[in-house]
Amino acid sequence: MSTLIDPYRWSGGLLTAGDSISLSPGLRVEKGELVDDATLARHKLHVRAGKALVSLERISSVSEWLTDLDSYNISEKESRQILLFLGTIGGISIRRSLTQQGEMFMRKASLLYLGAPPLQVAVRRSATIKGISSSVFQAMLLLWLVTPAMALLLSLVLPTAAIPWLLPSLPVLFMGLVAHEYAHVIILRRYHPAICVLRRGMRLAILHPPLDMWVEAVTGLVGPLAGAGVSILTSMLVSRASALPGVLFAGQAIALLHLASLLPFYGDGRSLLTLFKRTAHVTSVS
Amino acid sequence: MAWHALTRPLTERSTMQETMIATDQMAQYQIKEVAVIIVAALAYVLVLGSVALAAIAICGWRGAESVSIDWVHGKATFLCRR
Repeated sequence: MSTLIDPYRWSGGLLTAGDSISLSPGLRVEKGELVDDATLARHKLHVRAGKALVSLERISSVSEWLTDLDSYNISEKESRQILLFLGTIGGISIRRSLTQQGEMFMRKASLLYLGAPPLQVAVRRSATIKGISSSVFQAMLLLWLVTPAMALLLSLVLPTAAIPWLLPSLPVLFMGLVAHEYAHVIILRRYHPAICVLRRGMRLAILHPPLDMWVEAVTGLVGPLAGAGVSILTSMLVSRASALPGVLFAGQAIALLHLASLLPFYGDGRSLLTLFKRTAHVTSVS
Repeated sequence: MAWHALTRPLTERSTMQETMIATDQMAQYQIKEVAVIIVAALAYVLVLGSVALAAIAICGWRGAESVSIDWVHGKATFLCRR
């Protein structure tokens, strides 16, 4: 593989030459395997892939890593396979400056406009309040950007003056989602400290190994309840601060949707249904 | 095992002869997932849709100029557009 390769093209629009990259926290290379502490998975590595990931365990620039891959005789196709795998499991941590982030945003927007969506990878963060807040903020990035424009546009079309409710509803949505995820984490962390938050685009998840039935059930219930409670509390505060009583209405709608995630076809409800099916199976064979 | 779409590996059916990384097929894991776009979109539709419908029902197709809600007395006031 030539070190003169363009990192942006090689990575399918994921990386640029100036980016700093490293293996995500919670992942490590051990005895020829990639160990995922959050899921307890042990992915088998080819010897050369093992070398590539050991090299990635320390933070380095993309160019440096490409040079390392070259020295391990890893072809362009093989290196892309490693990168795609890491991207899929949220295994690569990318650090870039604000200017570079702006540049990447414009590049991705132009790719989307041209009908060639860029590679979308999972991003893994530690399940702390900071990691969760950051993941939720980024998952809502499109909403932060689009909602003001949408509010202006809707005010011209809709036969109502409900538009000022849209913007103050964003902090309500943010706080509700952080509370939802953090409530899951508070309980799960007592049983498995190495859990993590995974974000892909606008989807968020807490990743953890299977735990005792009751722990799973309680964890599945507290997330939506905490999300609903905090949404209503935040909407009361925002409503009072912004003098827009309609935010309370938005807060109730958001709270209702947190509770709706307990329905069996989506989110926590689906997890609970899977759990009950598993339990039913265990009961029937015992 | 059924890998979830959020973490679906790209090398699921491959072997060490043909790939650099072979996914651990025995790993069992759970996820607690929430889709921000679904929550946001439904909340927006619920709030705006219901108020817009109420405005149309009360004021006709021109709708309301402003809507105020008195949560203490459970009363909503629609100021219709002329």
